[in-house]
Amino acid sequence: MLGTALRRLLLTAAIFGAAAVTAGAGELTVGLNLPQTGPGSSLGVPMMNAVSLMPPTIGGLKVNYVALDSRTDVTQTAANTRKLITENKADVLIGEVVTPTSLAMVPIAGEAKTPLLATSPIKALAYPVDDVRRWVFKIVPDDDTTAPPVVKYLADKGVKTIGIIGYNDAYLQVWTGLFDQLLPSTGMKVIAVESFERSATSTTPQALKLIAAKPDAIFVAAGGTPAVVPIRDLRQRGFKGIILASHGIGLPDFIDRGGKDVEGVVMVGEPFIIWRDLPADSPYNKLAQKFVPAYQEKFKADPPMMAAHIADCATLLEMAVPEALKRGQPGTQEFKDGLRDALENVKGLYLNNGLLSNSPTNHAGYDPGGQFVMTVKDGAFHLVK
Amino acid sequence: MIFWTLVVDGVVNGAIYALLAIGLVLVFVVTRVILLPQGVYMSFAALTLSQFQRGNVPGTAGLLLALGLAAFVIDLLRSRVTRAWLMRRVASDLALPAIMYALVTWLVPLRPNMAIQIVLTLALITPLGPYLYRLAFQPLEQASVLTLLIASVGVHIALTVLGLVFFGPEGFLANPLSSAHFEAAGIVISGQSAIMVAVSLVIMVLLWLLFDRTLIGKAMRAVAVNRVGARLVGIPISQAGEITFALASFIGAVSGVLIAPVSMVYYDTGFLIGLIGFVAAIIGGMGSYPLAVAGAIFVGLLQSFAAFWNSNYQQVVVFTTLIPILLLRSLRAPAVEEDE
Amino acid sequence: MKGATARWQAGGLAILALVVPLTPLVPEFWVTLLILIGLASLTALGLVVLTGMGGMTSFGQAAFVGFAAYTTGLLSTTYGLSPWLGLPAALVVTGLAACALGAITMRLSGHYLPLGTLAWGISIFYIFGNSAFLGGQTGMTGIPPLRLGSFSLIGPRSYYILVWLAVVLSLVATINLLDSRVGRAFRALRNNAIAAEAFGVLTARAKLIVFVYAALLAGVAGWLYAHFQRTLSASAFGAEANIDYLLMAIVGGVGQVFGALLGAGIVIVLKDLLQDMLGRLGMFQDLVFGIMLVGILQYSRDGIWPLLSSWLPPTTPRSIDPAADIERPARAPATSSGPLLALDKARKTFGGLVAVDDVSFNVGHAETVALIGPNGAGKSTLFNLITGVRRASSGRVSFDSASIERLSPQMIARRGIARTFQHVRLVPELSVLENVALGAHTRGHAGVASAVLRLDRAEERRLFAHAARRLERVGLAKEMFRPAGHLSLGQMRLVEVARALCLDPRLLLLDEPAAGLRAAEKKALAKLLRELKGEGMSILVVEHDVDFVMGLADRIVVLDFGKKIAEGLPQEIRVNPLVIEAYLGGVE
Repeated sequence: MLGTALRRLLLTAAIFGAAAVTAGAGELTVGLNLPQTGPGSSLGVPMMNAVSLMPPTIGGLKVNYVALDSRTDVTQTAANTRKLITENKADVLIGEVVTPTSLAMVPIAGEAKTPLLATSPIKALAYPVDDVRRWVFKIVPDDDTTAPPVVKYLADKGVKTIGIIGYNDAYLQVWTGLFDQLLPSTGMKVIAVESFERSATSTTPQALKLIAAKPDAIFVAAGGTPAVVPIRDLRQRGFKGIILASHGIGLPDFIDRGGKDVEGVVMVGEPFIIWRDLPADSPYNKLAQKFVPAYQEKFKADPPMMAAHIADCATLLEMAVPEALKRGQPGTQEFKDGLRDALENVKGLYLNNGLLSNSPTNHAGYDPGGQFVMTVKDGAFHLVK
Repeated sequence: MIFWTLVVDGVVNGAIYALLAIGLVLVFVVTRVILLPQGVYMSFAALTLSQFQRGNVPGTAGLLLALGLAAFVIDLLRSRVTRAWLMRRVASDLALPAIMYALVTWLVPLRPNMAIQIVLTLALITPLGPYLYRLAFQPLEQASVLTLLIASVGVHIALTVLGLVFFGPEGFLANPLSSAHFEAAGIVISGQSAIMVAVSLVIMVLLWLLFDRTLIGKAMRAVAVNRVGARLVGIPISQAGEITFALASFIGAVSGVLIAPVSMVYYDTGFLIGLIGFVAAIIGGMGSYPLAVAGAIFVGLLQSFAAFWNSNYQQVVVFTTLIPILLLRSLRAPAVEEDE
Repeated sequence: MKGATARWQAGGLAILALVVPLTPLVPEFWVTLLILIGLASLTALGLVVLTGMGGMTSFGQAAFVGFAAYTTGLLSTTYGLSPWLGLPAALVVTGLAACALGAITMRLSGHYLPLGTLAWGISIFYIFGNSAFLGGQTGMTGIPPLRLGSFSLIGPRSYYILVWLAVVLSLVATINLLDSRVGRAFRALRNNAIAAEAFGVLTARAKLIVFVYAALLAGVAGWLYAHFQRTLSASAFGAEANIDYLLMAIVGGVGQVFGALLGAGIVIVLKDLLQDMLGRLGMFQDLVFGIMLVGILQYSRDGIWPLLSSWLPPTTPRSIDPAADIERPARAPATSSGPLLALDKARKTFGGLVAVDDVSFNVGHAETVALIGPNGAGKSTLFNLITGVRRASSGRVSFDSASIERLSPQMIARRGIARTFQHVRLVPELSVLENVALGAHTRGHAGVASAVLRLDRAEERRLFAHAARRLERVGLAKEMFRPAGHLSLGQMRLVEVARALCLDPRLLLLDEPAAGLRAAEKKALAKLLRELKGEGMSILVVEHDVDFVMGLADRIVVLDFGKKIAEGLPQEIRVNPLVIEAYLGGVE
């Protein structure tokens, strides 16, 4: 009995293997590796939702979207990346959102000479541009791009001392590093850094320690709903200073869970989050108009920022695919080379995330002017003018 | 003042850990199952309550239907079907979930008040325990503690996935049970915290009464002390198991209701919190309720102070402290297999 | 000869299976999957040895994968050393970590042990993530690939060879290890540690060795993983990974070496298939695994391998060379003319309960003494005091005029006291012969290294010849190759006697040897015991069967409620009113 089961298993494997190899001729294969489970799923699920809104054809090619679950796991991510490249013959890859997992995709994509549209903010994904990172292009501004406006905002407000609190993960460590790098020239300094677990029942001890250090402002290096907890505890324990947060909080869920506790929180982030406050003729407004109503109709909710990353990927591909087709057909290395070159030569392209101009030495060429200071007011993000 | 605020924070968290620890000890002494999903009951209850408050019918209502049906079908295949059996099981496995489901779908859109929401939550989560016992653990009644532990890991994995499917990846906060604040000697204590500690105490007292004063409690204690003996005097072990699991899921649901307004609860929050409750239970030797409660308060305080000392190493401190305690416990437990 | 052909065929098939994936016949991604299976089976193999053989379940194996991966990662990035040097370095670090963690872990008993591994597993995960020199939570990037000359082992096909070379070598090493003197000792750890100790196995040391061995297998996997993945993150070594490894070991079968391979294969292939089949519903994958885990525990607790292995040709029994038996070396002659064993006011209390109450008696050279008494009289506790399982609360136990009441069971065994157990303590999966050979543990010297490299064959031949001869003496020669678990209770008791004889004891302690024996077997046992006595062996026997004892014993000691109530010749005991009272008191 087990024998037949095993045979059936092998047969299924064979069929799947065969099916995957025979990608249709003249068809563009986009391979996505996004977390549907694990701690990254709050970012990955809305992105996967947005995949269903991606255009069925790009540059005249029928598009085959192959989406795999990374499980927020580095080993699974590496396996998925290899699978997308060797088994599904992906022409271009999209993913991941969490720092370690997104980094795990880089060497594999680079060595297979397949362009990777990286959807995580960490800088090391595409910097420095070397043999491997030539193939990686950022769809999210580096934290380096959003950090200077944050520091500038704090300096303008006359802040002298800063406290930082964040998730006990890579994101906090990145931001702490950025502050260390940027602050010395400003006269401000970080006087306390605290971390918390996503599953923590309370962040009161951390809040107490931060408040005890008496910083003028506190920066929250966390994304999504978890960021609500320390902000609430800081407010409840009587912190009256400025609270800034990283752009990871730019989600409807953050405001929903945070309620009045997060009123007044400031962040520097992508135009997509406050597109309604931009003039109707702003290119950002137009981009959002294209995407938001469709998402709202399908998922009965406002799209979070991460969903817009996927829309930006489509925008980029719509630009790059026609260029690549001049070099070769999908499935060939020439086509991938063409995509890569086109992505590297992007100039002045408006995306939901900002204004992008890449170069051979910069694959995350977001214009600092494409980042906006915003604050939570009356249950929504609004542009600080 | 910071010191006392940390103490209050530690005790309030300790109260939640204590509830989890009591559930774990209860299940362990009667069935020898180390019930990792105890934390899942907590997150399910917290998230269910949050969904009620948003006017949504939570996935747990459907889960109740499915588990009831599965338990019924599997028992139908396993046991000797008598009329009495059929009557009882149809009521407990099919009718009860159906009624609950109907009740929830009817009441929730009407936005009932907090008390009703809480009662509904408890009534949805509590029956999960006995169903899970019958599906996963009862067939393994005779297995070793280790086998049961691994089965418990399996149940935990499956339930966590369902949590993600039902509630999505983002966390939820419920409205507080009380928005009052007291101030004593400069320390702010929220009404919610006071309720958490009070309810935990009440549950502990009720459990003590149950085990000390009622026949069924005594029967369960008998099972805990001597399984063969209990069977000989006619106490069915599986029934004791079902009741224990119901109690445990009830306690888990209560802790979920308590924690929902204070902590952001995610579909997988239960794992780490459950583990910490577990650390408390182990400090208490997995056998003693008062010691488990003391252990829970200790862990709560330890966590609070560790987070204040160095928040990066909070969990390292908690879990590393466990190791010497385990060693101590092991040394006190008999080291060799008995040959008497 | 037939066995040899089968072995060649199996070997050929194995080589074919290993080589085919190198050709384009197998899609490249399948090769990637095979690499993942290979890596996981190394760790799962460690878990099989640890759990299935050594009886220690670990929720922390992923930590060792992490130690090795981070070591080689750190050396090859920050310090720019060759990745090949990373292997020895990784193994040293993993080994040291395992020694430290093992020293703590193996002191934990029962369910505290897996919980302890869970605790340090989580702590280490957080420590990895918070150590800046390991890249913190971001992880480590830019780990160089392995190189042979100018050729980089980057592609799956080239890496595949390396991984499976490691898997095959580890499998061979593990099989060799388990089929050796130390291996038998390991396998007795799970449920029979007390029996292993009674035959001189240093169980604490054996547990540590098993623990370190399992960690080193995980370490090899970690080194390979680091240079295949080339980025590292603590999340690969956390609770989820640990649960995966355990799942693999249990699905495959935690009691068999090949279970690890099978389990890793099933879990990884199934994961991939489910990913394809479920598509965006990929999250349900874990639901399938959770239910599968519980289902396997309920329906096939030993995993899937035993179901498959019934199709495999039976292994050929080992050949026994009777000539290889070691001659019994002369035990040092008695240093005194006094009794061989002397108890002087031996006392054992458990809390307030006095189990053995100031008992004194002697066993002389070449004398058979029987210890009788009603249930709960303290006979087994007395045995445990003599053999060092428990320490006397007060009083003296001396053997050959030397005090032994403070010695460990292992030291006592080495002095020449062997015992059987009231509740049979054999390793049911091992053959009768292997069980008996455990009794000869102190006669061998081969350690882990010589076992792995098969340098112990000559010694093994001697041990087995020795064991076979003892089996012959108890009349079980023809059951030699059957698993011990398949014998009847009476036969098992005789196997225990044979195992005790393997020690060539000067004093043989038998705990109810005749219980469960048929009349003819009892007669044969009595004859054997008389012969042994004739050869100069002293025997102390606890027995309920009064007729058996009367015909056998030179003297009888009677215990009741921990006290000695009578001592004398059989015919005196038969008419002693105190004894009659003790035995019949309750019936009147």
